[in-house]
Amino acid sequence: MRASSRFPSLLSPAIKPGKATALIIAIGGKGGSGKTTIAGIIARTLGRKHGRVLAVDGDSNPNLALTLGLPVADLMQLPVLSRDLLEQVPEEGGKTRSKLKISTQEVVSQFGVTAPDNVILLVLGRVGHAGSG
Amino acid sequence: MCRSHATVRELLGAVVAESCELTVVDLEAGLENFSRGTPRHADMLLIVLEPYYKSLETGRRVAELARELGTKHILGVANKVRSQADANAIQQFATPHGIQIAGSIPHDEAILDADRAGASPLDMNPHSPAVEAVQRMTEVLA
Repeated sequence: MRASSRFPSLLSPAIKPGKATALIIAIGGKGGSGKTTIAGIIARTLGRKHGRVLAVDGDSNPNLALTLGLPVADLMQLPVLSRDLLEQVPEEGGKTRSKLKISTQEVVSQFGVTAPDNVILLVLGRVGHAGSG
Repeated sequence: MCRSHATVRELLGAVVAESCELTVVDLEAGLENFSRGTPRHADMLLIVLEPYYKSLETGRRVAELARELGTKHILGVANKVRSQADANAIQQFATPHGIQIAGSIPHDEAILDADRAGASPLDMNPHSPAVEAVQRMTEVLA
């Protein structure tokens, strides 16, 4: 079994190099499966091809920065999103949901870190990170 | 005060819901992210599958939840594949569960070397088999 050439390029028509395109690829799996390594390589490969990629580290123990090629020394200085960015808005059925108070673009410009190959890294949090509650 | 896992998930859901550019999300391990709607907003979910039961079973449950939540494309990535038997095991598990395999990534010492060095395998060993396999797969995806 190899990366199959029969696999259709499902989303290629949606992508135009150099243009902002809302295409969201999430990578999941069991802990230790290699998803962070794969996510980092995918992000940089797409960055080379399409000119700009947002890489979001949604893990509570964030390591994506290393796979993206940022220096170990920078890790503890990475800006982490604040909970204050969220507000609760009502949803149908009387429930509420969390929403960003500012646009994602503003979040990226305030908290995004430049990584190699046109990748911008956004670190959402680090559980146990003192003072970030 | 420590940040909770729930906060990370809430932020993730909110960021992903409103992102209007090409975005790659490294999810939290396992199923936890799925309670906050992230998969609803993802166009594609890649589930990393290793050739052993616990990994495959976790992957199956992740796929099932994502399907219920409406993720458009749910695909598997066979990882740490050492042999044809490994590749077959993943394929034989994935197919009946409706998970199409987007790519097969070989087991590769270069990945472990990069992990030990705290570096990116793309910088340390850009032509290693695993790196090239992920790049080939990405080329087909987007």
